Amino acid sequence: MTAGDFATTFGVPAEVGAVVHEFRSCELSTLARDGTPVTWPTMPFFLAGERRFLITSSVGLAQKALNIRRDHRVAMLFSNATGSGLVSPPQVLIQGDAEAPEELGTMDERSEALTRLAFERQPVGITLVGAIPGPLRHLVDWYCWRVFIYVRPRRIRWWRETDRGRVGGEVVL
Amino acid sequence: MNAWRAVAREVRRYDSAVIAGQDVAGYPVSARCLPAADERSGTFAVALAADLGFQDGPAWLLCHFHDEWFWSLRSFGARGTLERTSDGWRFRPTVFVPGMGGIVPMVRLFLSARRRARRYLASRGLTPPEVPWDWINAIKHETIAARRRNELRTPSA
Repeated sequence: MTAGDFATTFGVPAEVGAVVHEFRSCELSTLARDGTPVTWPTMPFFLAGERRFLITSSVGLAQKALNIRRDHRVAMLFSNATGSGLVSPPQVLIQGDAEAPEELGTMDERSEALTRLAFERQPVGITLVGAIPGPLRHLVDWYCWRVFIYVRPRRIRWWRETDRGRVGGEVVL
Repeated sequence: MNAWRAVAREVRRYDSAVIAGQDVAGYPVSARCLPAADERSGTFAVALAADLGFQDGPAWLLCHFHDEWFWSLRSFGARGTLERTSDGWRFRPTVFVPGMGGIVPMVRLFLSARRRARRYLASRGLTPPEVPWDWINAIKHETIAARRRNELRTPSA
């Protein structure tokens, strides 16, 4: 994936594409049964060919997927630049429609690009994965049982602190 | 400890927070903010861009941190309401939700997630997929080798 993929796919400035590509996490909001947005950081992966994001989550932390199966409306905010290498990037808010199929996956060939990206960006995690001896792997296998979440953007907005509380740009899809 | 006190104690450990609410179409909307504690009203003042379309109603406050290597993860959340007042927006927390960070919360998270995972599978009659440990370790070794060859971009490079 390159920064240009997101920017060219949706016609947003390159700096917005760079945020989506380089930020280590985004804050994903799903809607609880009572309408409360529930927001936690997660690592999204943009599938340029499918014009949507892939997010995976352990079945042990599947509340976001359960929320999405009940209400497809989500938002992804890119607002934490730590580790991205970007200087004064804009905040990027992507609202969209999500789906979370019942099919279960694991960290395997189907999500190879995402797995590689996670290992590249989270090297301590690599060490931990390698440190688990075979007989103890059953204690952490739940983490590798994944639900897959797909988010199709509907509206993309971005702004900077210098925009003085105004949205700097917007694309509605 | 009530929710406001719990949030006020924890929010000081972070540079900023993320506030999430709903827009007029019912979609979640969120933005980074600097919550200002107001003990008297049991709320936090937050400055929000008018054209983001926040509405009064259910809301969530998130603080999270990771380092340059996407590690040292810590976080918490708070369920509450977003209220429009004459002097701007206020977040009123009602439930403090622990996140990551610290040994005790991590062990608690680990054990509860493991329990929930087994329950998730059992309730759907699903057989847990075989975890391809050899494949995962192969990716791991390739990634480490690439890092040693300096093929991977380091953070902030």
